[in-house]
Amino acid sequence: MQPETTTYRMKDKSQNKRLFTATAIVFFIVVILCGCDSIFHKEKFDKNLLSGKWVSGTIYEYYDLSGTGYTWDTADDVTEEEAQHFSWTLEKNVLTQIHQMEMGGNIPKKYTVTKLNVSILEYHDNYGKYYTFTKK
Amino acid sequence: MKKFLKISAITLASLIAVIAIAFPILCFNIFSPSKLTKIVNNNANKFITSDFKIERAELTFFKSFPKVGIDLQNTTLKDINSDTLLYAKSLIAAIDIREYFRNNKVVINNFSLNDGCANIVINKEGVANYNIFKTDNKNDTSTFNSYIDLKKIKAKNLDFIFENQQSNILIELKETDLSLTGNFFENNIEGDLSVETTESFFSSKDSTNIIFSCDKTKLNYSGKFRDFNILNGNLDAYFADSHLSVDTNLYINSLDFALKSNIDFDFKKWGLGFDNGKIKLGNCILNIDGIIEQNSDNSSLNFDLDYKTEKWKICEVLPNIPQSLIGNSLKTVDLNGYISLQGNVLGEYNNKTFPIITTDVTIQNADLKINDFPLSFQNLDAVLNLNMNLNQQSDLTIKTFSATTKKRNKIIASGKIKDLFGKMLFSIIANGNLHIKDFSEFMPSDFTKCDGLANIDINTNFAYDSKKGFSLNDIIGEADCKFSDINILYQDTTTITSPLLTAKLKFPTDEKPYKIEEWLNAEIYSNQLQIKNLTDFNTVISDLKLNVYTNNFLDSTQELKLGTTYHIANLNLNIDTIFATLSNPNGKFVMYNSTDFLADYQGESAKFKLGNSFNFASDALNLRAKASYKHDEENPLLKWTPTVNLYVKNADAKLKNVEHHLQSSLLNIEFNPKTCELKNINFRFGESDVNLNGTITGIDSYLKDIGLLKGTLSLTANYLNINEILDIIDGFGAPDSLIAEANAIATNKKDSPFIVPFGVDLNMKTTIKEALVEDVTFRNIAGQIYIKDGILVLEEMGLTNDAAKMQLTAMYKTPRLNHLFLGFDFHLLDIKIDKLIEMIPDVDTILPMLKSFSGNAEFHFAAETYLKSNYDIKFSTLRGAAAINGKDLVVLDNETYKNISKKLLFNKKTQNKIDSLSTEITIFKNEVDVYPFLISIDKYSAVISGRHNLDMTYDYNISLIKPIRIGLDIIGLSDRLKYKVGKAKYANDFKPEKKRVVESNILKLKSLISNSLRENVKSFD
Repeated sequence: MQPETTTYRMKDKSQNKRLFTATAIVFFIVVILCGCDSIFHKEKFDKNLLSGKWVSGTIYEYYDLSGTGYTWDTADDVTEEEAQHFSWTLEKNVLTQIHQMEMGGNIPKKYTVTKLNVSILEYHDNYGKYYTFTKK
Repeated sequence: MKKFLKISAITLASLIAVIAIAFPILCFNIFSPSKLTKIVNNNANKFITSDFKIERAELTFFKSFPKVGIDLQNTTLKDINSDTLLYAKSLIAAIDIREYFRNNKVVINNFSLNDGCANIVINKEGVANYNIFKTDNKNDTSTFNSYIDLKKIKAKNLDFIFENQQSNILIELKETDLSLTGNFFENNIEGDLSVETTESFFSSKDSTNIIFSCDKTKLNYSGKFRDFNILNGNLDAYFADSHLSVDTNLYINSLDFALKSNIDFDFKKWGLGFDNGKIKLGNCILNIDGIIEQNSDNSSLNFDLDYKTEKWKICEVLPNIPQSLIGNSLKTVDLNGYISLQGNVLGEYNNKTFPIITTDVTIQNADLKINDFPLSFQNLDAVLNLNMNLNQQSDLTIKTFSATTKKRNKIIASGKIKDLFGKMLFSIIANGNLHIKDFSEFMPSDFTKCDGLANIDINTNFAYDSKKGFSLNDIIGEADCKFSDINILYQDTTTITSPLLTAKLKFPTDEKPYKIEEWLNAEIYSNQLQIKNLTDFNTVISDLKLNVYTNNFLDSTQELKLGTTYHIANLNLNIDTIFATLSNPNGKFVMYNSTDFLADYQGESAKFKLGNSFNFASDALNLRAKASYKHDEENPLLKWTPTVNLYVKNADAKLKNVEHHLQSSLLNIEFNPKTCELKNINFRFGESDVNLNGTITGIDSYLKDIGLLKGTLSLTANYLNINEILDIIDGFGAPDSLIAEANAIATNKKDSPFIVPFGVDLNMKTTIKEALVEDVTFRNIAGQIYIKDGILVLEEMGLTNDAAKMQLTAMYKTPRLNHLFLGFDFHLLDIKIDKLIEMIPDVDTILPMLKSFSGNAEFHFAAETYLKSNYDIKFSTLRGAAAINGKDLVVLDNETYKNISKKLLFNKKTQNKIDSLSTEITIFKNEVDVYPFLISIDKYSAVISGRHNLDMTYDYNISLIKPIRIGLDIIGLSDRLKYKVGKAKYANDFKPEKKRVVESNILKLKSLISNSLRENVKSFD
């Protein structure tokens, strides 16, 4: 028969270890959750501000509140009447443009909006391409 | 002796003087006037029943010298009605009493009546007023048969009136001097009569009113007067200032004429016979023979009169022709020359009946000028026969007629005019040798110069009514016309020349080949006819043969109808820069009315040249066309509704700026306003060898701009060079704005892209063994091609080449010249990747990593973009998706691969084979996003994703997930790539998500094409 103290000690160590592990996990989760909140916090933009015609050099984009828009580039001798259409959503700072091919099919493009006010629209994609539009 | 003679003479003269003085004195004392007057008045009553009064009677010696006579002064003899029968201021009679008693012979040595008047009246019962002499024995029927010698009977200044109330004849002679010598025996008088009057009047007022009057009359008659009724002798009469009217018609108006004839005049019948009579009117002499007598039954005149003129000067005759006969027609005619007449007047004349006048008219050496008529006629000779029967029908026979006009044009004619004063039925045969130049006045004013010779033979029958004009329905005619050396100038700009042109006309014609109410048939031949515009038009026609039929175009109530066959040996035409040569063209042309036409053309060969821009040549060219013309249609293209059948054999066409000839061994097209059926069109164009069949519909809707030109065609070809074909149809039917833009670009030597035809809806089923597009050869091409109102669609076009089996569905449209839309769905199966890049170099731009692989792959690519006019891509409009699937590929051992394998710690012995490759790509503007895909090389597995831009900047990540996890970022320009090792992005069990963007696009592309074609169908509201 093993001495009660040793058993107790062994049991006590085991219990402590579990407790430590549980406490660490809880702490880790709390820390993670708290960190995530600060890391994944996304700025929220008012999509109403997006409505209207924006221009960046020769590139024009037009958004209306119904979630549709169109874009054209006068550098390619394209007029507004000949613009190509897309649908869009703005969730917090993520601007998603789904470009509609005339022949059918959609080409999705996602951008991160960094600035949006009544006169400036700035966004970029994941490949480091930045766009700055001014309200027309 | 002399003295004796002198004394004897004086003695004899004295004796005569004594006797001359003593005898009257003795007579006057024995037969004093008072005694003698009493004796005469007393004895006259024994013989005369009427009142008789002699104011004074006396013997006279000097007035009746050498016989003694009795002189009755102011003698008045009343007729049976107590009207004055005879009055004489002085009446002297000397009778040889000795002859009467010795030989029972009355010799009136002298009977003269001066200053008196005589009125003889026969009343309606036929009783003469001069029946005033007593007959002692009523039963005594013996006649006075003593011989009376009328030595000298004279009347001077006697007014004489004879009135026959029975026949309504009145004769008045004023201031008549009369002289008669002859004898009277048994109621017959024979002698010489001379009458002169200052004024004569004759009237016959019965059924026909005849009035004759003249101022001065001289009349000498030598002959007999039998039974106080019949004059038979020689008459020599002269009438000055004569007037003759019949009813209201004035036949002689103030004419002097003389009559010399042996005459027979029957007072009872009131008949006058002429024998060898001559009537002289001025210098004109008319010979007459025959009888004019009054019909006692109906008071009409019976004529049986032959007449013949000398050769008269027409200018002297014409003024004397009564206006009542010819109206005012001669006022507009100037006719000189000679005329002679010979004929007969036969028949009864009254207010209902006219005698028949037959006249042979001979006109010689006459000149004729008609006012307001541009031609005059010279050397006019004619022999005419006039049969004037006013009771029924008068005919004029033109036995011969010849004349010249403008000195050198000769006209010969003969014929007949039936019913001259009625319907005027002409039957004329004429020949003219004419210089056309002399008749230029008759040509329309547009013909500014006409020259040439014409020989015309006409045989025509027609009718002319003086009120209604030509009776066109009755015209019958034949004409042979031969024109030579024709030279006509039209509107000072166009010349028409021909060395020889003949025309054979016949109307009406019995032949009705076209059922156009044929009336005229004209056979026209010209060995050469040239029509040349001085500026831009020239045509030469050789051996022209026309057989023309028309309806009666002279009838203004009918529209012109025309049908003709034509045959031409050769026709050369030049209009401005258009040249045409037709060999042996023949056929027919029919104009049914002003609306409906038919044209039939057959030719052995044809050549056309349009400047330097178009050349055409063919062997047989047959055309049969029907067309209707819509007068009220405003659109010029719709005014005609043709139905055409075109057959062309061995045609060769060449367009400027098109390198190759278009050659057709057979072309057979049927065309109508709605449909064009291409029955068989074989053509070679450059290297292309094409057979085209099918039907094009909706032509009328297309022309009305309310619908598309639709076509269902079948095209089979052994070889087709698409590049050359596109050059031909480039821009057909494009809007004006687009054409203008293209022209401007062409002028500026800019790009000229292919413009899809507008307004058409063509569906072409193609079966092509081999075709060249750009510089790529495709084989076994089969599929549908649609061209619809500016949109070109290739639908599921299967084709093969050395590199792959392919299927292409594509759409190309040209809304704007610098904004061309191109969308396509392109599937390449089992294609060698290097061939793919060679065939479509743009693939290397879109997916540059592909050139790192070798082997066969499937390539599916759906994209759309707008193009510039030079076909440069407008990258801002580029949208697309692609999928590449490959197996057993080899990674090419190039510099990039070496860098990657080195960074990812690949074993040097790694085999660079890839079991499979499956990647999907989207294209947006110049961004090509490659969705993560897994590749396995030897023992290594990696996930590749990233983006490159079409400016050849890269941002890729390769995540090696087996056997180790390591990541490699590849960034930068293609020629200066940077490799950065990092963590792998993807888990070991990565499975790429299938976006299926291509499949999605394909489905939607098909839907889009279908919708586009439907949307472009024009509304037919």
